[in-house]
Amino acid sequence: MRAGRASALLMFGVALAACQATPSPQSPVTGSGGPRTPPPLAADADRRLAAEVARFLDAWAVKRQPHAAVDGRASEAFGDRRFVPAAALSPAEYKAQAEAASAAASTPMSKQAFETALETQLGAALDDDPSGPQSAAPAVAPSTSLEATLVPFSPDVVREKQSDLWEHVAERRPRALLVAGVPSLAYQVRDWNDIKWTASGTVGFRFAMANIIRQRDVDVQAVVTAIKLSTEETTVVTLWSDEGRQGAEWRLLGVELPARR
Amino acid sequence: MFERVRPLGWVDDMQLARRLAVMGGLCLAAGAVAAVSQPTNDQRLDERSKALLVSYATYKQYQSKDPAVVYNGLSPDRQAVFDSIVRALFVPIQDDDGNPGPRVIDFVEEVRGIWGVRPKQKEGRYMFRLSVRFGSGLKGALEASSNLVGSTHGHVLLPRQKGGDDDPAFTQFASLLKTGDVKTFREATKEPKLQISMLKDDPAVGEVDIDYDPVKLLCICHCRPSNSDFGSRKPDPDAHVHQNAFNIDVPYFSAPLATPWSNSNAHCKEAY
Repeated sequence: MRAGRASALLMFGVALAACQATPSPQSPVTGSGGPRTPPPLAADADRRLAAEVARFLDAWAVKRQPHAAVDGRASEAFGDRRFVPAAALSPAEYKAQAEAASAAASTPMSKQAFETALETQLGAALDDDPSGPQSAAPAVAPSTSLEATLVPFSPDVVREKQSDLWEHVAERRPRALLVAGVPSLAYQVRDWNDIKWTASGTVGFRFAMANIIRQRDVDVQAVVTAIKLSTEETTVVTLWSDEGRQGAEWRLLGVELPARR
Repeated sequence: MFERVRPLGWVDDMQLARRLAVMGGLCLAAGAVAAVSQPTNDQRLDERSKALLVSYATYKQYQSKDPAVVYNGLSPDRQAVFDSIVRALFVPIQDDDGNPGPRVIDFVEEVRGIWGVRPKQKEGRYMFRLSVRFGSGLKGALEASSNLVGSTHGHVLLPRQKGGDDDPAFTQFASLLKTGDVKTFREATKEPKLQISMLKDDPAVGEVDIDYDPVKLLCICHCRPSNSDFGSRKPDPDAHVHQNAFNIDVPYFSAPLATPWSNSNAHCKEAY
């Protein structure tokens, strides 16, 4: 009798512990969409993701080579004109695209064309205009390494120091991702609600992303890093798709520099 | 032999014809009334601009409340800030599917500060905006919207009844600037972006500005002041990017906004 009760209690305890286990980094996020089987090697997937983010940021923000940053690295799953960033379009083109995207018109584009669009955006963010005033100073603090350019931005840091951002990401259960040894913030993205705090100008995030995630069964991760500028810090949000390969590789689908004023 | 039992609400043909005629007339009349009572955006813009200028003059305790007098008393750069932001406030608040609902302008009750361009002021990024009072319901409407989304780095520049925005020598911006406990909303899938901020503990108190330029990692020109400076442009031969982009982004009126102020001295970071 006692043994049976103890056994039952033990089983109950095991079940309870299973229910309370810390979710894996890529376990489903509550709020949007249905449950999803987590990839078997979440830690490996995160290591690959961190390495890809570091490679990208080093090429773009440190070495200032937008082409090298995106060359061969853009997502095919999101190769669609709706994901072309506003900075790569004229105002008139952008307006036309926004209207088309809100009508859910899919206009696929080649991987090469998508890379070119991302490269244009990254180049514009560097604004490295040789015809500009000679007195121009780079906003990125002079540095030779990504480690020195990044500012720790773990969930704990964000919760403590940037409560307005934490309000938007806390329920996404963000985790720390070590990018070049510096903690950054990462979380799974299911739909527009997960990244709308960036107020992105890229119309595909709002009107098309959720459908592509579902239809192509891709895992999308947002990585939020903080970069040291010469006068202040800014956050850089990069969005990555595993292209349905269970985290074996990560391809870029968007870069956001949320406004800070 | 027996009288036909008429169901409740039953009417004979003549009665039906008369009722239909009355209903038709009512419909026509209602349509006519609607046509009269539904002003165009141009008319609404004129009406709201005047009302907001009167509210501004009332708050500032100006002697004249005549909107034309108040408007003409603004420096050209402040006119540009006022004109562009009031137009931008006509953006419809959209639901999850992008369907338009009420416009933000419907929730703006008063303008209390019209902050213009102030070159050579380090706090330039805080200056180009309207300090406003919102009506109830805006915060909830924005929280439920898909195009004006909750974001980060909110700021509310409080108005000052005497001096402040209408004093060109005023520089004590830090004493009026609230950045903590501020709720902010930014316009998504639009460039430039409207930004609406309000105090968390008093959502009636807020400010509105327009963010023209995305953040740069390297900045030759746009590092700092690019809020609501509708009239500013890079030195020639650069195109008037702000004005063109704004008028494409804010297409609610029959004519594009022509700026009363334009220069290339207040545009790039060197000006500050």
